[in-house]
Amino acid sequence: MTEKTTKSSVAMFMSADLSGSTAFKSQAQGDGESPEWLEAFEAFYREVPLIMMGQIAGAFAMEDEVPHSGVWKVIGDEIIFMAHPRTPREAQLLTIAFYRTIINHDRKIFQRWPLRIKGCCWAAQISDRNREIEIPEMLGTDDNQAYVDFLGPDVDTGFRLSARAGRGQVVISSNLVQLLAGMEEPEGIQFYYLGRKVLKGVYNGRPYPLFLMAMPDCMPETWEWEEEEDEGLIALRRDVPMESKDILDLLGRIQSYLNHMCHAGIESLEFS
Amino acid sequence: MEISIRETGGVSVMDFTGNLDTNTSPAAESEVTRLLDGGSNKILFNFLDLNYISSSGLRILLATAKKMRTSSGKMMVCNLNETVQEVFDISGFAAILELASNEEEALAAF
Repeated sequence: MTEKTTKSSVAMFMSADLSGSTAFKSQAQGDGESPEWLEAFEAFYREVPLIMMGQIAGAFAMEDEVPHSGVWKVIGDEIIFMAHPRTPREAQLLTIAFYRTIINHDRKIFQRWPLRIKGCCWAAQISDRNREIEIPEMLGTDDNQAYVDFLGPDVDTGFRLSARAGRGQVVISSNLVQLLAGMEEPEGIQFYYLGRKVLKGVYNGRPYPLFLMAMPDCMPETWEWEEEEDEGLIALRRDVPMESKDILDLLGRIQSYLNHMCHAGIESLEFS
Repeated sequence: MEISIRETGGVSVMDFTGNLDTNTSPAAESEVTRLLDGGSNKILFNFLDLNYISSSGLRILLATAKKMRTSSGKMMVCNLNETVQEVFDISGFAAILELASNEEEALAAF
């Protein structure tokens, strides 16, 4: 295991997770050689990265370059994309591309199978607090391309946060919300605040501010009986998005408190 | 994957054989960069013998298209098999990039 010595950068992680897959696997055995659930999983693994790349192409249509991005990990029912945005604008456009991927593919997959998709988007400053390492022992690595992994508290936060996403929804980390809410051109991105929840091992055990992302021209497809049991959908349908200045004020106060009281070391994202 | 490059009527034709995926995309990107650094501003991606292209392969095409746009160049893609065509359809790249059904048709469009 080798630590990469790179200058400070921002890494973005975007998780697309199949919801309802355990029940589906037990129900959809089919009567042929290949169970029906396998077809759904193959379609998920194959199509979501392609749709994501198409959405990146759309989001970056007016830009001269696209940041490095791709599938970082596949864990069970989950695909995690990783990208290295070089500017806040690139982080914003990647977030939009990911959000549209989740919402559009959620609709598509639900038409074919009793499955939904949920998403989580988070970011980590790769510097002192979070580290990038090469693991030469991993299968699939060769002389030219070492397997790269990321370690650190802000990387771990996403894995806890992703469990809070509901069907057809995208939750987003507070550092990314802070970055995007502070941009002059929001590009239609809205945030819904769901309150603070304790995420195991995150923020020194203090409640973490939970935000859902939304775009008015691309909202999740929902049904009344889902709304009643899902606080995220209730917020998306009935609440109003939080104002940027209120978001920045809230997150600034939380950051100051935790850094002062708990030495949490929480920092805003910085692009070199 | 193998890539061979030839010049035809001022167009750099890249012939791909095999799969353009996560493992092979870095090599493809290097070849494209070498062509662009050498001054090529007309590139044809010939996928006649390409079996499959993944999202990382699509990223190479997208990055090349952007570089060609900034240098007032042009790129095209031709000879997509059924599988590769499906990838282009699912991703939406069929509507983003300029495609031709065969090399002759593509060269005529440069």
